[in-house]
Amino acid sequence: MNPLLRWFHQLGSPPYFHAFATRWMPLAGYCALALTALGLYLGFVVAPADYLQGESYRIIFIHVPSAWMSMFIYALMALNGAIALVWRIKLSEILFLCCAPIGAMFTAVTLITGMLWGKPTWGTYWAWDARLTSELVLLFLYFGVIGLASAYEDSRQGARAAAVLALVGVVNLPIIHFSVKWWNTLHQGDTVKLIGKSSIHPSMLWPLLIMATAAKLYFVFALLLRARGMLLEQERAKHWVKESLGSRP
Amino acid sequence: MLDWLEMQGHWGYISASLIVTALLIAADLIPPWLRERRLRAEIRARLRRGQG
Repeated sequence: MNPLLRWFHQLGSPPYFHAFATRWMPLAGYCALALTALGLYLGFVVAPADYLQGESYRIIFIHVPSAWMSMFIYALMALNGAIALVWRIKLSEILFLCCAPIGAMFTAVTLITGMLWGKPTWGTYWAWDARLTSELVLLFLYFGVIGLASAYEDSRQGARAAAVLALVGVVNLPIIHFSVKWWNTLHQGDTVKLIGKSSIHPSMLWPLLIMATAAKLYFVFALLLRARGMLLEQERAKHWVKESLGSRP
Repeated sequence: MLDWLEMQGHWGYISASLIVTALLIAADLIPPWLRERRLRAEIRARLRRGQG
C-alpha cells in the first residue's frame, strides 16, 4: 500500500490519532506563536506605511490571513462532512465538528477587522457589498452548522444533518472569492495572486505570507486540541484511553 | 465608544483589531483546553479509584 494512503488509514484509528495529536500539537502551537511574533514585527514595525491608506492598511496582516482561513476551513469542514456522511468515519465526523467553531472565529475576525479597516479607508464600517455580505453569510453558515449539530439528542445524527448543511453552503465559497470580479464592489480586488505577479510590495507581502502560515499552524493546533478532547470524551470508556492516560503522570 | 475609537486615528483601529483578535482567539482556545483538562482529571481519578 502507498505509505501516504497507509498513514491516512492509520490516522482514522482513535488511539493513533490521539498519539499523533499529542505529539504534533505543541510543535504547531510554538511555531504559530513564533511566526505570529515575527509577522507582527515585520508587518507593524518594519513594513512602510501605505502611500494612500497610511498606517491603517496594516490591519491586512490580520484581516487577509483570517479571510483566507475562513474559506479554507469551510472547505476542509465540508470535505470531512462529506467523508463522514458517505463512509461514516468517526474521526472525520469529529474533525468536521471541530472545524466549525474555529472557522467561525476566523470569519468573525475577518468581519470585525474588515470593519475597522473600512472606516478609515472607505468612511464606513459596513456596506452591503457583495464581498462583505457573502462573508457574513459564511459566518451564518458556521453558526448554522454548530447549532444544527448540537440540536439533536443523538450527536451522530446531529453531525450528519450539519454535514448536509455544510455541503450545501459550499456554493458560497466561489461567491466570496469571485464577488470582487462578478460585481462592482467597494471591496478591493485580489492583490496577492497564486498565478501571476502580485500587486503588493515584497516588504508587505512577506509579513502577510508569514502571518498566513502562522494562521494555518494555529488552525492545526486548535483543531488537534479540540479533536483530541472530543475523541477522549467519546471514547472515555475504551481500553486505549485508560491505557494512554493511566501510563502518563 | 465608536466616537472615542475614531478620535484615536489609524493606530486606534489597528489596536482595536489586535485586541479583538486576541480576545476571539482566547475565546476559541480556552474553553476546549479547560474541558479536556477536566475530562483527563476525571478519567484519571476514576482509574485511581479502580472503577474504570
